[in-house]
Amino acid sequence: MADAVKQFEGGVLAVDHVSFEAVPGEFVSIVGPSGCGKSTLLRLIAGLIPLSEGSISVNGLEVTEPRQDVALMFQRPTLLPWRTALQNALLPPKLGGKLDEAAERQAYELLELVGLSGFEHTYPRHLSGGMQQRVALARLLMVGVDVLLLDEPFAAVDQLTRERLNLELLRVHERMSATALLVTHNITEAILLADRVVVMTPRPGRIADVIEVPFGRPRAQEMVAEREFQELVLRAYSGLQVPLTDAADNQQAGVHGG
Amino acid sequence: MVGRRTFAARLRLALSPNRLARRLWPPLLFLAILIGLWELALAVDYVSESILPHPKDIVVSFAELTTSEFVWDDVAATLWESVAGFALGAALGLALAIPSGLSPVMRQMLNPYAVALQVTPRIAIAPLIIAWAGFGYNSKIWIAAIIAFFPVYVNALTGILTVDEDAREMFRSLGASRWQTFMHLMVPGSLPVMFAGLKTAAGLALVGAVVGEFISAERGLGVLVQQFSSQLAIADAFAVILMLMFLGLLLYGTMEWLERTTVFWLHDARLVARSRRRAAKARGGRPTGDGGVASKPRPTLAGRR
Amino acid sequence: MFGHRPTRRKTRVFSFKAVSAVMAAGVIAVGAGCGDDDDGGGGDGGGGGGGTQELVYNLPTPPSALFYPALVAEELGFFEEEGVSPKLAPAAEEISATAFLDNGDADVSFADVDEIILARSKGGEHQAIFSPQHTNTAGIVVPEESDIKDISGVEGQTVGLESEESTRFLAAMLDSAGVDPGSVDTAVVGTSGPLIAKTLADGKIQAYVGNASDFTALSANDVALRNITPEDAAAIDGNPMATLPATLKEKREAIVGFLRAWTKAQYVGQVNRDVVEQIAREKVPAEWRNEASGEAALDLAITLMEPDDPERIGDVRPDVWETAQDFLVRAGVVEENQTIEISDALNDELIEEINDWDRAEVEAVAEEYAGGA
Repeated sequence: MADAVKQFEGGVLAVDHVSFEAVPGEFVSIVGPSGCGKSTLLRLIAGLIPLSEGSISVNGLEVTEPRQDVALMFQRPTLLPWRTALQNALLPPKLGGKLDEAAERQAYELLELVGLSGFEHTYPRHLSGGMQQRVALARLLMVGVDVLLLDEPFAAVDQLTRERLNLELLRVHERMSATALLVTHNITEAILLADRVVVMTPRPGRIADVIEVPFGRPRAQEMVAEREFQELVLRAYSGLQVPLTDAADNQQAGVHGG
Repeated sequence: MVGRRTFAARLRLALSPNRLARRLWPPLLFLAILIGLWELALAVDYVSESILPHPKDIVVSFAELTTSEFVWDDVAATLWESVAGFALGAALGLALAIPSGLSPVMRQMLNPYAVALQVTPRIAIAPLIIAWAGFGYNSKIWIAAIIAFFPVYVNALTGILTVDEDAREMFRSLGASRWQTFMHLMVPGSLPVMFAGLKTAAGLALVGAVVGEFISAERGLGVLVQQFSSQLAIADAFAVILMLMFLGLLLYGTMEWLERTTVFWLHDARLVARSRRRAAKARGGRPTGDGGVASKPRPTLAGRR
Repeated sequence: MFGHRPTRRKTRVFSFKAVSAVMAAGVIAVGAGCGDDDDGGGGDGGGGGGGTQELVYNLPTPPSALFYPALVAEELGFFEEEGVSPKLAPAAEEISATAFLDNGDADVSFADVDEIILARSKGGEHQAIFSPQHTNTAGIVVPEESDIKDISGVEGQTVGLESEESTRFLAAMLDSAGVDPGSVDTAVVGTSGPLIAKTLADGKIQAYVGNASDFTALSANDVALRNITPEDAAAIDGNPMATLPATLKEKREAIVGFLRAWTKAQYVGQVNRDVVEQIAREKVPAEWRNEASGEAALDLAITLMEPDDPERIGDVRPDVWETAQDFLVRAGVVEENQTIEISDALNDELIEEINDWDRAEVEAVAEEYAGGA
């Protein structure tokens, strides 16, 4: 994205001259306080809302409307309650008119990938929040996407499940060669999952810092305890312009045992 | 807790004396109290027998009427008027709700008239309808339709307008066309609210049909009530009212069943049944890479969170 | 094979189904609702097979023993004999019988004398061509044990009314008896049998103005009544049949056929009550749930339809109508300036023709029916 600006009606400047380039296959986390325009950024990239100034391109093509190679995952799984997990996963090809055996097989595989083997014919009402999000993820992956946009996808789930889901997310990301952009409040999570972390300022959103995460893959929860990790966390906090005392509280709340 | 029971087993369970007794005694008790008060009122002459007959007389009349031949012509007439009126009113309600829901301009155009129609006393319009629709079943059907129209209209409209915004956005992000969003999101999504309207409308259509019959008709349960009443056969008149009640229950029950079948995702038991059926179908013939027929692993509770 | 593909489609089809099913039903209902309009909208000669002509007629009630000739003519095959297939357009509360003719909803209509007079005074061309009831169906009654012996006794009392319209009828009756209508209180009681009985029994009203069929229903249910209707009120024809001259010309044959069948059936009632009872029991079983009511209603009907001159059943009698108009003027139902030329309103050109059949033959048909069926 080059010099992207997004100004909402009413003069709210959500995104102020943000420029960024992602390497294909990379996992990028975007952190920032509420209202810094992170979600807006994702929506801009997804083509759901138009830019005020500047441009965003994916795969060399400028983004003007929702595209097949960019997929956005919301906080709420928004599964259709009248369709089974499998049918929900198959929604993209169904809407795209390409519903066939191959698609069905792929859906089965993806559901297995996200750990929902055996629940293909269960309805959302009987799936927990975490499971629903996994279905949403599978649905997302049905489309052959190059760019995966995740807007705090596991925010509605409890901490333990969230960690598990995050690690599954990494696994999925590895299997595909897509570029992932994850928006989150949780700094620990951001650093743990990403190759690079983009730190944004409060509204109007600007990039305060881009942190390279040097850890190797596969990641593990234990890495959080290491000192190098914590240094990155502090660096992120300073970028957020959040005072240290608050930062300490945040850390207690956001990190478990470590 | 709903295990793998066959239909027969479930039926037997539902009709088992224990279960039946437990479910029936509250309403039966209430009925007994009601009848007691009724007889008491008659005994102390609080109300005269010629206006309110003994429950026993009503039951006897009911038995006699239902076993007679002629009454069924009237039942059929009223039933037809109600059902046709309901279908017509519901169709109109839907037909107007859809454009209203999709276009604010249409909504502003149509809504005031729908509301105006609703608040105008239908009894006043009825003679006009009769003059226009002729004297056969049509006038009754139209009166029933007009009364049944509004609940369906307003509920369908609400359903369409209150579509899940997130889901809508998700559809957009998947590149769905307006038509697809309508058919696959709005329609199913508005069914629950719509059915609530349909259920109300079913009962109202019956009311409309009978009102129409009171005003002008050759046959029907409404006509019967009037005929019996003018002959001072009051127990018979009440028996016919009882029949009307059962007719109303039938219509309502049918809508309930239809709802449970169509809006299956609100009912746990249905969902489980469907899941199982699909899983069984899938099990029945899915090839795997090695050419055999794979058996899908059974879902275990351990896997659920 | 992937057996589950068809089931997957089912979800979408289901939603489709629900919507389409309702819409299809709606379309069918609209079709039934709109297409079928000539259910009452005036048939035009094209009904029935070769020979039978259709005629739409309006009665004040749904099929009933009160108008037994309609039932009997059908059952004994008189209509068929005359080549007419009649269609009933039942009365509607706010629509007057003459309006049926105006709207083309009926070819012939059994109306009230005052309706016809008023319609003509407004410029209509309605004509009474047949009058089966040579007595009035409206009247005033008191409980049998009451002290009131005739209409003059009503002075200073409270009178229950069938409806608001009955006020003027009451006023006319009082006027002709020399009683000041202002001295009488009125209350609209309606036609509900039990209610009438109760208010009479409680003494809330001392007399009731209403319809003969309500009187007989009450009597049959042990509410003893005495009829104190004055003679000039009682002499007004009950339900004369009216039509428009244009219709008379266009459908003369059908109308004559209809009336011939009707008069035959009316005659049967006068000479063979049992047959009529038999037919009534079969055709309107609802009226016989209460045996006493059924019997009383039939008796009333036959009495009402007793013709002045047996050779001229349904005769329209100018002198009676003149008296009727005078009465209505006194009642305030018809204004002075609204009076019409009675001779124009009546048309008896058909009376002879429709009475021109063999009495004995008809009696025989009735006997045969009684014996056989």
